[in-house]
Amino acid sequence: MSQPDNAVIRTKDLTKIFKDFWGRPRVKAVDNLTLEITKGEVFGLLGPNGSGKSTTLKMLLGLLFPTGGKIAILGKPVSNVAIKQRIGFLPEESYLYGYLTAQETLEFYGKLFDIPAKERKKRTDKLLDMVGLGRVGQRPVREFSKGMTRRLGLAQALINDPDLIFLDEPTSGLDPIGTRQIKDLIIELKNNGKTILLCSHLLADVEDVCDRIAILYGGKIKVCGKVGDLLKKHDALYVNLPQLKQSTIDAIKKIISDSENNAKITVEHPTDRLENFFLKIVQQAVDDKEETSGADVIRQDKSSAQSKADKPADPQINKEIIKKLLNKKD
Amino acid sequence: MKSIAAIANKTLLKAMHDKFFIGVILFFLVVLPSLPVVLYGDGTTEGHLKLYISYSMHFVIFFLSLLTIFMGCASINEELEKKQMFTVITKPVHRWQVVCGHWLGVTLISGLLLIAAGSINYAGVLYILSQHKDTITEEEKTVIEENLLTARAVVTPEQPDTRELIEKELKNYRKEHPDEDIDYDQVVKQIKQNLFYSMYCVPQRHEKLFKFTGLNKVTADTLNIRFKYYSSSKPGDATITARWIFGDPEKVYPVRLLSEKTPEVYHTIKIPASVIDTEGNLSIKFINYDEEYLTVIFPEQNGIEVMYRTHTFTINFLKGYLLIFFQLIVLSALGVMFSSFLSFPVAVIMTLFVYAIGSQAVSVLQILGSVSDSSFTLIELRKEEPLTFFTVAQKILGAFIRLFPQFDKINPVSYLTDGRAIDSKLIAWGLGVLVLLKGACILALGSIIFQKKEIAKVII
Ligand SMILES: Nc1ncnc2c1ncn2[C@@H]1O[C@H](COP(=O)(O)OP(=O)(O)OP(=O)(O)O)[C@@H](O)[C@H]1O
Ligand SMILES: [Mg+2]
Repeated sequence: MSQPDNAVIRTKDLTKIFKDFWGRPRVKAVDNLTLEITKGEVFGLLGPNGSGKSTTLKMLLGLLFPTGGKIAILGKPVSNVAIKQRIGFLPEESYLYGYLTAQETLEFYGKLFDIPAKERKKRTDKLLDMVGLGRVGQRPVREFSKGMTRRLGLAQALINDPDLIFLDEPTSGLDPIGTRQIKDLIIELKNNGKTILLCSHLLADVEDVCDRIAILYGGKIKVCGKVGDLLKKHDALYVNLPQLKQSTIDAIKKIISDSENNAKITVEHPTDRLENFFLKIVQQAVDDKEETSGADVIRQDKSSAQSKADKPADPQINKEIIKKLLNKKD
Repeated sequence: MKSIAAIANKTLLKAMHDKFFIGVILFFLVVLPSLPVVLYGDGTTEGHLKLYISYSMHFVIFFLSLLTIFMGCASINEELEKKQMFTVITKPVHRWQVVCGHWLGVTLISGLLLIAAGSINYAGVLYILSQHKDTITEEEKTVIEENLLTARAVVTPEQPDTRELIEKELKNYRKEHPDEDIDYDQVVKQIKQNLFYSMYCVPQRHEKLFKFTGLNKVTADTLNIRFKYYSSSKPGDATITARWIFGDPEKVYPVRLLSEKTPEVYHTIKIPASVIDTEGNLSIKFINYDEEYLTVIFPEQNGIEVMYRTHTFTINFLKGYLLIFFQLIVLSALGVMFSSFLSFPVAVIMTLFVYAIGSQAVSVLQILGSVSDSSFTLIELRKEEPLTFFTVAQKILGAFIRLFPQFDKINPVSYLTDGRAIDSKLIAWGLGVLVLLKGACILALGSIIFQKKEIAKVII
């Protein structure tokens, strides 16, 4: 822990084993996780269902006690209550109080931060506006839709203007506009020097906002690094262009194929790229017969439908589809 | 502090939005005001009042205790189950503050309900009085004012340490009969008998002096002397004639009376408070003046007592409700403590268990003999008892029960139905021992348990 200023989150060999009633180890949810997240970074934690993302977050927040390993948050142990003053957290589901109104909810959390009444009122109104709940502030949360609850959960996480923000699947249940807004918000927060640790399944979103990512499988980090570095393919080029007319695209294709000796060209949206990378990492882990207590993301049998190859998000995906997607040569 | 208040406030909001809770409260607030109409007693004003006060207060205590237990037992665990605790614990809040916040919230709700219940209860007393306004006799009115709607302190005469006396007598006996092989039990029995006779029996033409102390604070003008005695044989004229001298003639101007009262029932004599001397002492001389040859026997305890008015019924009533509040404070602490690591049904069972034992604690301790009792029949001499399994178990059980909050000690109902003053010592005991010591210990225990709790773990 030499540079507490730089490393906002530091874990060393963090392990969590869930035991059953008799104390017998049952699930190894997080396995020797060593991680360092520096100030101002947006860090994405990826992984299939049950790979230990939420468990990691919960340990970093003191909601679960590690079975082994060390954690330092803002240079202090998790049990330090004072550091919570600078932390914001949005859990995997927004577990809010149904009987409180949106306004009362933020008021309540504001009080927990000992924010003076005037300031609290100001921030409450501002945050409600920001997450688009300005007009429903007086309605009880139990009447809210999932997305509305999610938005309020996010507002709750920002009530103290935190320096370090934990977001567990922030965009789940949100409409596309909401998703967009949250992404913009994350980028804005980052520009204000905040550190964000984010779990998400929406790889496109992660790719858009994260500086670095780690992919978990069975509680272990499979890969960790800068998004750009990880995704850089040296045998291909990527040109970022606005939406083009079909004729322009055809023209470009022609130019390239003429001058580059019939080089293979694909035109696709950039969002597909992390998706491919993610699937590759997970597939690797499955191929290596790594242990996981989480869900079987990729079915091992090859008999299932291959016709859905163009839909990578389909849970029925199998090895063949992945191979196709990754354009593997073998 | 603000976080405790915020959590408490949230508990209040939760209760206000809970339909079941509101329904139960409405039921309570409908039943309670109907009690003065429903309960009628024996038709007399006193009977009506007594029945109402006793019944309604028992109802309030029982109902609000249960409600407090339920609220307490559904506090922390509910937030753990619904995972709302995730967003609370990740704020700069100490876990003990969460425990205290829930406790404060439940206690506040109970307190508010108790204020409502007390107001209704008191209005009920006034209502009953107004109902009987036209039919009540002057005599009945004074009886009620002096015995029921009042707060009287009760002073019992000084009692010598009987155990010591017996031990002294036994020592004397040993000295006088050094060579004899003493039949221990037989001698003690004899000594007890003699002592009892000299202390409580008054043969014909004999007298007995009762000494009362600590009456300095009497402000009332009159004292009520309440007594009961037995007769060695049934008196022919059904009554026993006795002469009384109230006050030490050397210090005050005494009051002399001749009474003819039946044995075996309580009687009250009213005398002026001027018979108390300047040091707050009062001696009462009783002379068996009956024509027949019989012995008057005073019961060991409560044979004679001096009663005087200390404050009004209203104040006593308020004190009584304060005692109930103490109980609710401790029950809510218990409920919240158990809710920090048990599911609702289990927490309720545990709290009810403590509540049940606590409501019997004083009587159980008396049965176990760990409370000193001046009753002759119960006195055992301090001989070196061998430690048997039974005595050890008894001691452990006694110590265990002492840990429980002794709710029966602060039950105010009998005080109010007997017009007995709830003295400040009892209030101080309730506040000091029950609330500040045991209540705080319970909350501290809850905080320690909750501190060790993994919030995100599924509760069993
Ligand atoms: N309280 C718990 N008790 C027992 N096992 C648990 C508990 N919480 C999580 N687990 C197990 O730990 C593993 C990791 O769970 P975790 O919630 O961290 O996954 P995740 O990566 O967040 O998944 P998802 O993408 O579905 O949110 C899973 O196998 C899960 O069953
Ligand atoms: Mg999760």
